[in-house]
Amino acid sequence: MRYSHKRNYPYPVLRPYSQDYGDTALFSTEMGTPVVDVDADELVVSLNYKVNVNSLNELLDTGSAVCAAMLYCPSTLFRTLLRAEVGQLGINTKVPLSDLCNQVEIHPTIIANDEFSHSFHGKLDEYGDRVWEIERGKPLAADQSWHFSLEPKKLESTESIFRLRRDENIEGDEVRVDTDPGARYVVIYANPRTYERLQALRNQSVDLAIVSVYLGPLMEALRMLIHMDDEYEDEEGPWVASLRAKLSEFGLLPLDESNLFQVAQELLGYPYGRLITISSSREDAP
Amino acid sequence: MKSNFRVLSDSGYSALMTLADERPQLFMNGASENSDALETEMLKIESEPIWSGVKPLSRSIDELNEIGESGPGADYQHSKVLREALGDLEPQEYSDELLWASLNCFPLAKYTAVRWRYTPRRSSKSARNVSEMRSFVQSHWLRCPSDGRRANASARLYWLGELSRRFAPESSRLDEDEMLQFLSGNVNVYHQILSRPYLLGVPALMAKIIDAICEPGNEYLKQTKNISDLLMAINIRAGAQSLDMMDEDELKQLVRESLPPKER
Repeated sequence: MRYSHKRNYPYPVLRPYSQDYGDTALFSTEMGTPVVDVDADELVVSLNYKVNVNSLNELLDTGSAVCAAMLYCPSTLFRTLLRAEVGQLGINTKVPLSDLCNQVEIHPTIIANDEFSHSFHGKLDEYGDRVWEIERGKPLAADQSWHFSLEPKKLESTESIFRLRRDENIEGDEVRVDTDPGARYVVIYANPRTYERLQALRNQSVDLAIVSVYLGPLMEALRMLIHMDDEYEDEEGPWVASLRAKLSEFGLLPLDESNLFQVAQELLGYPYGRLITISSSREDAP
Repeated sequence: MKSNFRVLSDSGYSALMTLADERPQLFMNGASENSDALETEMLKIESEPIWSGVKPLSRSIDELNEIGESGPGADYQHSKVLREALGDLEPQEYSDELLWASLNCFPLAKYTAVRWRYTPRRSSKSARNVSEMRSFVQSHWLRCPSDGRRANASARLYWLGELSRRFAPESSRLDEDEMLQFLSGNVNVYHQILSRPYLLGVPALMAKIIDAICEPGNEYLKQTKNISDLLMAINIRAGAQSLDMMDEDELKQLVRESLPPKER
């Protein structure tokens, strides 16, 4: 089960539509649009909390309570507790993207913290001298849940074997391609400026991005396949297996070093051809 | 021996859904000539490409098609073979129903038809029978998210192994292979834990529950009613206290305090 703003608790819990702290009490959360960073394999999640109940704000200030949220993905069964820094009314954190798919739920809460003691005696100003012993992990406030969905990653795209990463040690516009046959991905390293430019290109035009970002590294990866010895076969990582399967599907095996450009074009769906078409149609326009 | 299998496109999957709706009996006979017939029928109703690519297998999965009887008797062995063949998939991949439908309807067509043999409860011409057959095919051949862990032929095998992989490191009694044997061999326990998805996301807790069931004298917990009561008690507590903040001893204590009585 999860925390729910609809449950009843044996002590005051601030929730929408509950009267535990009176009519003017407020606990609300705002979730920023989650940001996907495919290359870092991360999803950046941000939440802001608003509380106008004095006793809860005091507990948050002293660290006896903390803003938190349970993140849960029903498709992958991934579950984790996101926690704000002590005294903070916001969470900005990264979650592994590969653990999430389809729907994701976020259940915001304020919970009794475990950093100071196993439990604290919750004396809430609004309740006079009454004292509750509230164990760590128990909710003091619960908001309605947030939901968002992520497009499931398709299995088939050739581009999915690549990851783009920043590398401060690379100078100028050069990129370095790591085609370790045992790795999960072919990793393209670029210096931060080039990285940002390539990212911008990816957002502008898929075809332009394919040509600029993936075509060269794909040719490197194909070259690696040609020169791989049979002895590496048992150590083949996922990218090698995916690429071999793709080549076999397209009837492009065995590979020949003299036509790698052609093979890479075919695997990527002839992006150069599409770019030329787009350019000429612009020129023809009145 | 390494091999590949073809992965359906969205259009191909949609064609299968249409066929499952209109002619569910097409799926029931899993002989290889029947998968050819299925493909022919898909091509009749779908003009877009029905395949989006191929996926490699690190070993053959043909032995699953040698299954002799329906039911979960060989799930343990079959789960091992399938996971070995597919390798480590990312969660996004094994949550994709296209992947599982591609296996169930084609290379594992015979396995699916035998493992999940359909036994009509009424005369074959009954309209209710056709509707039942339709949902049977959708559950075991096609649909995957959440319920797929229980019913989708190949997704179930993969998830048995995946959950064993997640729970075993947290268990003090079972290694990964033993955990797989336990989950495959105790279908009622497996189905009950699947019905509490929020708890499944806390592997340390699930391992403590399974450890408790394996404790000498606790055999009674394998009965559906008892495991269901245990999970319900824990689930209720989990709604009032964060499981994610409990350490190992606290989780053990939570399980101990939630055990149903032996004698009723």
